[in-house]
Formats: sequence, C-alpha cells, structure tokens
Amino acid sequence: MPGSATLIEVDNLGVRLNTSRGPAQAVRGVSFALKRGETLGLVGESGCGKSVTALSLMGLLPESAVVTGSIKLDGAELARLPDAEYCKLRGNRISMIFQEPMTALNPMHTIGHQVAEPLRRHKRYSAAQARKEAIALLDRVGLPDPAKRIDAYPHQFSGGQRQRVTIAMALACEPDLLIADEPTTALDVTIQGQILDLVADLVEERGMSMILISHDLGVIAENVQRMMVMYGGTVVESGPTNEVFRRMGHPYTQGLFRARPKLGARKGTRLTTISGTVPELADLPSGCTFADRCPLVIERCRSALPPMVEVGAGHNVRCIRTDVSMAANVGALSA
Amino acid sequence: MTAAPLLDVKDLEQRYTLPRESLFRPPGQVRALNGVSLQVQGGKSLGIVGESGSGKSTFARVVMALERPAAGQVTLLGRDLNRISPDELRRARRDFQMVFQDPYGSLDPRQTIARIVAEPLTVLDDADRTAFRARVATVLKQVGLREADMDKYPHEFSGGQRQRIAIARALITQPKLIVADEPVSALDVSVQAQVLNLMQDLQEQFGLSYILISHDLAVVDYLCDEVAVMYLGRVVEQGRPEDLFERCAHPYTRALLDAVPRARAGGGRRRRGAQAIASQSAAATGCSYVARCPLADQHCRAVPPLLRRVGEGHLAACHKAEALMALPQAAREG
Repeated sequence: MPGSATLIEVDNLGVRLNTSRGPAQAVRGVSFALKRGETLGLVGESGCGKSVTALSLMGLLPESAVVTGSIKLDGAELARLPDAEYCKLRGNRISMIFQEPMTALNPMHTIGHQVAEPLRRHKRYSAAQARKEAIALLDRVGLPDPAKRIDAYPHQFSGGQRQRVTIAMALACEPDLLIADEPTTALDVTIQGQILDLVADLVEERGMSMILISHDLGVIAENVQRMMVMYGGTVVESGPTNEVFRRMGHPYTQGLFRARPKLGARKGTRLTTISGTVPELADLPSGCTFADRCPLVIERCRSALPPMVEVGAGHNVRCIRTDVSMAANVGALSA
Repeated sequence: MTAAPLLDVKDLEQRYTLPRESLFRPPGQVRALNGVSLQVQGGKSLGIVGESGSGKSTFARVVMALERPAAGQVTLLGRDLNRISPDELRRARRDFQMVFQDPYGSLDPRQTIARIVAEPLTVLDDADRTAFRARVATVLKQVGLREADMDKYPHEFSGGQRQRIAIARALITQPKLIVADEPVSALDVSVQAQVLNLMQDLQEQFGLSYILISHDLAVVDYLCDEVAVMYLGRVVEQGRPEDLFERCAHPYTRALLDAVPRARAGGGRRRRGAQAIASQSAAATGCSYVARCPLADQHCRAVPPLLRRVGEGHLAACHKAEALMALPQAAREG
C-alpha cells in the first residue's frame, strides 16, 4: 500500500531470557514492518518465540531479559524504553488480548471498572464519562445488556463473554496496534469464529494494525494478510498468507501442515509427524534450528543459520534446501 | 447387531444442583445429561463432540463410574456399573481406564514414573507386586518411551511424553475401553500427531475401544468409527464420520463443521452468523437448538424432535434432517 505510513518497524530483534537452565536466546534476528491497517500472523509451537516477540513489543518482558535490535513505533524507539514511558503506551497506543480471559481479568473488580481503567488513566476521563464509554464499548463487542451487566464480576460471564470484555478493554483507547496472543485457544470452535469476526470488524472499522498469534494454521489462513512462521526463536518463513499456503517452502511449515488432522480424511490414514520434540531454547542447535527434526537435513544445514531466501514476491524462506523442499509441492494440497 | 456391545449406555441422565438463589424457592438444576443412549462395540471407537456445556465430560465421568447418574444405566461387559458392589467396581476398573486432558495436572509431580504407571495395578488386590517393574517397562516401550525413564519424575518430560505416560498408565491393566477426555488438545501440533498415531497403533495392536471426547472435529474424524454430536445434554446426531461430514443431518453439526478454520490458500474470512448461547437450566418446550437454528419454524418451537434414523447407522434429532442433507455440504480440507 503506497502512501500509508509504516506503523511499527522491528529490526533484528533479539531477546535473551534467563531460564533455570541458563541464558536462552528466545528470539533471534526477527525483523518485520507493519503498516497502518495491516494484519500479520505469527504461527509456531510452544517455545518458538512468538509470545516473547509480542511481549517485547508490549514492553512486558521480565526485567532480567536482554533486548537487542530495535522496535520503532511511528519512528520512535521502544526497545529499552524506561517502564514509566512504556506505561503511557500500553493500553493506549498498543494493546494486547491474552489467551486466557479468566486470568487476564481481575476477579476482584467489576468488568465496568476494568474496561474504564485505561480511559481514566490515559484519557483522564471522569468516572461518569468513563462508565458511559465502557457501556458503549461493551455494547460494541457484543456483550448482551451491557448497561445492566457492567457491575458484574468476571466469574459471572462465560468464556466467550469474558474474552469480549478483554477485547473491550484492549480497544478502549483506540490503539494503533492490537496484539492478539492466541485469543481463541481457550474457546469453543463456534465462539472462536464469532470472536475472530469481531476482531476483524474492529480492525477494519478503526484502521488498527493487528498481530495475531496462533498455533492453528487454519486461524492464520483465514484472518491475516501476511504471516510469519517461527521456530526456535527465528522466523523460518514469511510472506503474504496466500503465497505461503500456496508454495509452502520451509520443511517445518510443511511438517506443521501435514501433521494437522484434517476434516474429511478417512480413519486409517496416518498423520505425518515431525519426529522429535520442540527443542529447549537453552540448548538450540547451532546452524538451522530445525536441523535435528528436518527430513531434508544435510551437513551444511548444521554449520550456520541459513539466510532468508526469496522464493516469490515478498515470500521468504530460511532454508538452503528450498529446491528440494518446494519440489514436493505440499502447498498444492491446500490450494 | 451381532455380538453384545462392550459398553451399553441407556437413557443416562445427570443433574447438578445450582447454588440456592432464594431462601424460599428450591435451588435450580443443571441438566447436564438428558437421556443419552450410546453403544460401543469391542475394538471400535466412539467420538463425542460438542461445545463446553454440552455434557460430554459429564458423560465421560459417568461412564467411568466416577459419578452416579440420576437415572439410566451404564453396562460394561454385561455388568451394570451402578449396581455392583464397591469392591466389585474396584476390580472391574481394570477393564476401563481414563486419559485426561492436561498431562501436567494428571501426573503426580512427587512420584516416579514407575509408581505413577503402576498405580492402577496396586489397587487391584490380586496383582503380583514383584512383577510390577517388568510390566511398567513393557507398557513404557509400547507407548514409545524407554525403560530407563521409569525412575524419572514427570517434570523431566515434555507435554507429549507426559501424555504417553498417561496412556501407559491407562494401558497397564490391559483394559478393553479407554476413555480419553481431550487427550491432545494441550499438545503442540507436531506432537499431537505423534500421540494420535500412537493411539491408533495401540488400538490395532490390542483391540482397544476408545471413547474420545474432543471439541476438535478433525481429531475425532481421524480416530473414530462412530461420532456422536452432543448439544445441551442430548445426542443430536450420531453416525459414521463420513455420514456426518458428507451428509450432515443436524444444523448444529453443520455449524460446528463450518466453524472449523480451514488451512489453505485463498481461504479468506467466511462470515458466521451470530449465535446466541442457550441455557442448560431452562426447561423449554420444542427443540433445544431452536434459538440458534437458521431453519427453525413454529413446529420446531412446539415439538421436540426425537433422535431418529435418517440413513444406514445414521441418527439425527431434527425435524428438517432430510432438507438439510440435501443441501451442499461443508467444504473438505486438504
């Protein structure tokens, strides 16, 4: 989209965390840029660094974490920003929706209080103003009868309704960037559809940018314009969602896709698994992080982290064996 | 029907009492199961799908005789589990075991794997304790773990390995039936496939039956010979997976199928209609799905549909099943 400005620009982001097993490089060399109104998906399994990437954008990493590289919001540097400065951004210009709505809400406060809090804090609304706005927000996210239910506590709502409340909280100050970290993983599949529809409507309506994090390739395929597949703290494949699903260049992306049980596949068909397990971040292999589980691994894969290779317009794959991996044409299955 | 079924569940009902809201009115009740009848044949698998609150986990708990039902019967291998003495029940448990959803919560962190896996044997009084370790080693190998893992503790294992340990614990009594409540939903996609393949191998090897409870239709489709769709404590549709996916006869099954996001290029977003969530406690006349159903009419509101035959081994509780089956069906994936 020429003309529209870059909202957030992440360049060579690295995050080192202190774990019980020693320092671990949770994120390595992650770079991306997001324009206003654009949506980006992050896919990967647990421990791949997708949530740590999101938390570093929110400035919510533990204090012992070491952040390298740069995160720019409208040109202003966010990495290593003092916490007091970050407090002015969080919930105001950048908001986040978490996976588990029960733990994201404070059980001791009414939902009205929690939705109004960012308005009182960032916009200096009076209590009455904030309450009125909170009712309007809860109405917008589809909570039934918000004027009556605003003084109810989180435990009085179902999981889907609670997630609607956290979305209302995240949207209160009309943020520029919304980060949704597995927003529907704890919800039923029919409710998942409704919540994703709601988020998409709001993103469109308010011109926000969104980063959607999910382990579910289906959720990513249907909800974002561009996607990045992460493994072992690095981005292994990135590009426009349609292109990635059509070509599917990285053996890990292909493995993830093949391992999903598919609707309509008959009993007795075996799932193609990725052998081994997700590596611990503290002892990642040198070279390609996927090497130990990759069916196409050769000696050269283990010597150095492979560079990103462009395989199509804006579609990059971090693999030195794309000639072999893409010959299999796994993506054709999904077209 | 040729042989007697392994498990025969008849008209199962279960109610839970809600907290009292008024001093003078009787407390409300949740009708978690409203007359569920299902059968499982030896060596076959039954999948149960539905949203939270559909009663699928209550069904599992009642089948496992962890709760007494308010009404109805659970008959396993010809024995009514709610009629036999506690002592007999304890011994009967060798034939049915359970695997839980959360592999972190279902293994005691303070016990070694050997103790965890052998525990079902220790409650069976006739077991020979000296042979325990050998049997533990055998089942650990069957689930793809090593004998050396016996003296480790749960925290030393990943989620997928822990679920293998939970399956080993269920296998050690050589059961006929394993009830698995969301066995893979807490696992990563690549590991989920390994555990599902393992469950399929074990079924072929030992002739096990599974009752697989899941919200994920694709998982159930992969592992089961028959699927029952539950809604508000009732079975609304039942049949072979291909019947449900190619000729689905209940609008709720259709809604569940349509809601599954498809991983493919050019997917784009498909709009789904807003759906109200019905209450479990309200005793309404007519079909329980009427509030969410796009096809509902006056007849549906007045007369509750009964579960009836709509095809070979295919049952549905919908007045409009035939009309629905004639519609173009949900898109396949991959």
